[in-house]
Amino acid sequence: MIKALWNCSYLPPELPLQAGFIPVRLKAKSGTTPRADRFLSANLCSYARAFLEQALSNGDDSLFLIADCCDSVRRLADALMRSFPGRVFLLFLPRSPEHWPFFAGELRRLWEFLLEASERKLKENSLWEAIEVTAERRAKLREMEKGKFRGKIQPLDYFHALQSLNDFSQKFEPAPENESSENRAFLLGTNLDDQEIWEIFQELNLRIVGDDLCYGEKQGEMIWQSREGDPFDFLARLYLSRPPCPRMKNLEERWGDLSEKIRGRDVKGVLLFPTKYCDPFFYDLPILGEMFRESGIPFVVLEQDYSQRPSQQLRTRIEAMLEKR
Amino acid sequence: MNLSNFVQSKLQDGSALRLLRSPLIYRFLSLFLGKQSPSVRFSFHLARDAYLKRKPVAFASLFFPTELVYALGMIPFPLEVIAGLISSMGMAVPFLKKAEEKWYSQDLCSFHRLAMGLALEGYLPQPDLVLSLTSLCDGSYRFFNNIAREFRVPHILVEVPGNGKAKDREFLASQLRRARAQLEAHLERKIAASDWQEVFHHSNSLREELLKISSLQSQVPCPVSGEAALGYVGLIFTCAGSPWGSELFASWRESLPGGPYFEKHRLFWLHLRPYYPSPIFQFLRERGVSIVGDELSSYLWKELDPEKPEESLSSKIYSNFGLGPIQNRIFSILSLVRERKAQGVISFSHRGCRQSTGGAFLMKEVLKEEGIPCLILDGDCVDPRELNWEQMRTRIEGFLEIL
Repeated sequence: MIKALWNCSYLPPELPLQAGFIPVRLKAKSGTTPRADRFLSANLCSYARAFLEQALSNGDDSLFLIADCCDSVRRLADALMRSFPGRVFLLFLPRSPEHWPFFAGELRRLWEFLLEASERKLKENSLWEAIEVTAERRAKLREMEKGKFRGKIQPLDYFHALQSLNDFSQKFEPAPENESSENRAFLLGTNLDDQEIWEIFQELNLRIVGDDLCYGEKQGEMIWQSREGDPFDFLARLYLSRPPCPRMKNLEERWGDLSEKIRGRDVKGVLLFPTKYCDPFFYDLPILGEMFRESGIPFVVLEQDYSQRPSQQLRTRIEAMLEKR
Repeated sequence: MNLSNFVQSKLQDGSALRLLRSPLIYRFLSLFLGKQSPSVRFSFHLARDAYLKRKPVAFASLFFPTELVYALGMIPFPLEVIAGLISSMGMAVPFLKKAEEKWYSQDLCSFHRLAMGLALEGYLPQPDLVLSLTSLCDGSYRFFNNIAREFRVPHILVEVPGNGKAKDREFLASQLRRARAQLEAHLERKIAASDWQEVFHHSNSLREELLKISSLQSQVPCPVSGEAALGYVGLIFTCAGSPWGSELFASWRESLPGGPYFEKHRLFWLHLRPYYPSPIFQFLRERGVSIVGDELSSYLWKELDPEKPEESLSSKIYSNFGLGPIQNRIFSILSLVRERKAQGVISFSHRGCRQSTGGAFLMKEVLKEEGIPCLILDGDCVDPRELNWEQMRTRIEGFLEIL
């Protein structure tokens, strides 16, 4: 079966899954990007560049489903369209939940693209089958998160569990529970795909007891009681009403829920991991800093730069934050 | 003492802010206004009306349709244009540093960083609200949001879907209708049909002037200074809908020198120029380079119809060919390069710009396939600390040799 590789947690894997593809979130790998450098300049989001590098290194006939999160990602889509004509779909993602009817139209457009690519004829209502599959996976994630909140899940186990959640070629394997640790931290960032960073967390005996990552615990918070009606309308409302990221809502609209979560997790501090050149997150930083200081929440700003491997400085800075409390 | 030195001295002794808000200074300056160019008179009126709060003030992002702002009797105070102006006076660095002190990363667009520095130092007028679009620049939406927070005023955001197909245009028009309703409620003022007629008349007259200038740029040799045209870009986006627009551009067109012009090479310019004092344009002039057009001055819209205001403005927003897939932009640039008989392209890669700079390599590749050489110049439009002139000069010299 052909894979459908996607870039953003607002892109519903339910559609490619039902259309007969294997939805896989394309992870970015840290390191140099010689192939991507031909298309994308060095000042673009390092995730977009790493994504392109992965895509260009991938020799199979996967589809690329891209939500137009930002300027960098739009340029990523341009580069993909040039390299893989006919295999790329760009989905417009509105920011306001009130715009769900427009988003439902976009999802229909994606569905038509997928059906054409798979040469299948499927009824729209069959989408409910895939919606059930993802709902079950998310329910399992919610169960697993309870162990995470108690500090019982090791960082690397959590990292691998999240990877399996978004790779539909495999079963979702929840992380096992282990001993807890007093080094409890909250993670703020977009995606944190570099395993080496999670290895550093593990070596520091850190427990990530909460996160605001695109593919972290927020995925488990996508719950909808009534699954009926038009499946595109359902998906549009479900995704646009999920806990938002810096691209979707400004910090003040997110701060209430976010600060409540952080306070409720009894953490030693917050680790901020903006991705290099991620404008939405970098516009949050001045206000985040102010709000953390006002709330007395310790934090440290690190950076996820996919063009480089994580440095040892990262470890030192996290250690310094843990020692403060 | 020139104007820049005068303003710098006033900034240093802390009196600039007091002057900007003093009715007396505007009364005094108005005595000398008659002989000034329309652009100076326009800037005077903009500053006076905004700082003295003669009218409600909207901070509007560069591509926001100012016709809507003028129709409501507001002043669109253009923060990105002001940032360029401050940079052109050689005063960018202290404001950039101020923003950086407050954690605005040097990786962010310097137009926005500089404007934030001005806000943090108290140099901007108090706005009534903030308006922005999501088109082209994602940083812009977040920047304007932070600005609205700084001034504790509402921020109205209009989302622009990328493709510009019929349903996208209707979606955008519906949001413009909604923004209009929000603005009308906020200002307790309705836009009448006559307001649209007047504002659209001004916008269409500006369009006519821009078409005339565009036609001049196709002449060989080109009578229009590319450096000046790039300096006027901000005014296109600030004056659309005001009577100043056509007056200002007509006056500039009529003042163009009659020639003869030394023209060895004809080049088309992508994105904006460095606004701080730099030797780049003198260097190009000395080598006989004519900049026969630039990207942002070329976003020409269809005539606006006062019977369908939001639909017209939606269509105008989509006349920006930087929107949507890069093929739109490439197709338009190719067509402009041919129309202006340009031999090559300079793409100025503003460091913090993800949309334009981000597409530069793809653009260069297609231009190369079409036999049009393209030079990507890395730099920054308002932050002079990013200028590496020696390197830039070597690259321009190399490029001119291959033309």
